[in-house]
Amino acid sequence: MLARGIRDDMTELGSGSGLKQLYELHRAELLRFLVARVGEREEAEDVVQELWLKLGSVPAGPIGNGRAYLFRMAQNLVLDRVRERRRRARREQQWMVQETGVEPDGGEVADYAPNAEDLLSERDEVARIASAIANLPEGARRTFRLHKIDGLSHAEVATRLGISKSGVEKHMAVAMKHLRRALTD
Amino acid sequence: MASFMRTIISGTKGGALTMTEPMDDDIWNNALEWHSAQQQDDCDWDGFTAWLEADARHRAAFDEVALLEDSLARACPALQSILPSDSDEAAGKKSVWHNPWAGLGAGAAAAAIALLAVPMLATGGGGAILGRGWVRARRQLRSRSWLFRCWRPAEGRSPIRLGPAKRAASIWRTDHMSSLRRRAASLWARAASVK
Repeated sequence: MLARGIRDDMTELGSGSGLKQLYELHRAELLRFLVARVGEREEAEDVVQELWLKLGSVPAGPIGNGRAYLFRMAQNLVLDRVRERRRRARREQQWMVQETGVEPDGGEVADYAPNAEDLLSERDEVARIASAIANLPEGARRTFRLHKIDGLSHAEVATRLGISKSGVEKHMAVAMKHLRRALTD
Repeated sequence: MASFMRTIISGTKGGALTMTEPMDDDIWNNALEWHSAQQQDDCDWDGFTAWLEADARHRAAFDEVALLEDSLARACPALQSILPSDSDEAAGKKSVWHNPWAGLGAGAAAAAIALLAVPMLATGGGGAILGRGWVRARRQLRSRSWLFRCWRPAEGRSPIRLGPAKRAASIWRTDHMSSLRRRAASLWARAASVK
């Protein structure tokens, strides 16, 4: 199988040259994807450059679908940026809350460690998620619990609850919609 | 097709940006499907690219789904200990949703707020002291996070109900604290002007 060499459907090794050759082959498609993904060409080019640099540190090992692997890597780099933006937005929001209050002494604000604030946000988030789950209809609640928390597949949840797979999907859609509202309201 | 206005909080290179955009359920559901497809090896990346290119809102929806999934993944270990297991629910046990001790969490939270707020109002010597006192008390409250423990059940004990936990958590949230502080300060200002 290894003799198949560098091909889209079977990249011989994850490390170094194999993926870099595939990158060269698919660079235009990756860039097009990234422009659509991040919404602007300049940032897309930053990400594609970051992807190239990352390829050097991919551990050796067989990769099933090299092209898909590159898209996934690109997607993960974008998600890292999205997460970082959210963290920054939250910190700024928390600072705003602190500064728009009757803060008699500006020095007090700097005493709050960002890590502690992040932790508080996470606790708040867990509380919101837990209460959103508690308020779900029973079917959606049990489906969510089994699939998202216990890690059962849709098929396993369907068997366990004695419902169809599409029933599981509908329950999950309800659950995710509730959670979305709980976290954005 | 149901749609509703919602607030999307996203970031820009220059900093946080808050905007209000219509986000319909179909877009959200498609984003969920694309996210789920990407957990598989055979994801159609060209199809995903085409979907993103079709409408700028698709990108925002996908980001939102990805962040929600992140939050769920992060919360998962805590949720495992808070929520009743499925076999508990299936067995129809008296679960966390119907625990008579439930009010304790919210009650303790309200008592804590009152205990903090009263000395704040009683403090003499000007608004600065009131403000600093509050900031100090709030920091203490946060660092000990005992309000959080009021509703977070200890392992091995019967968990408290989540309805009041929601109330306790919302009292505990920073924005509520901040509005309470503002109210305290305005009461103080009124008292000072009467003098």
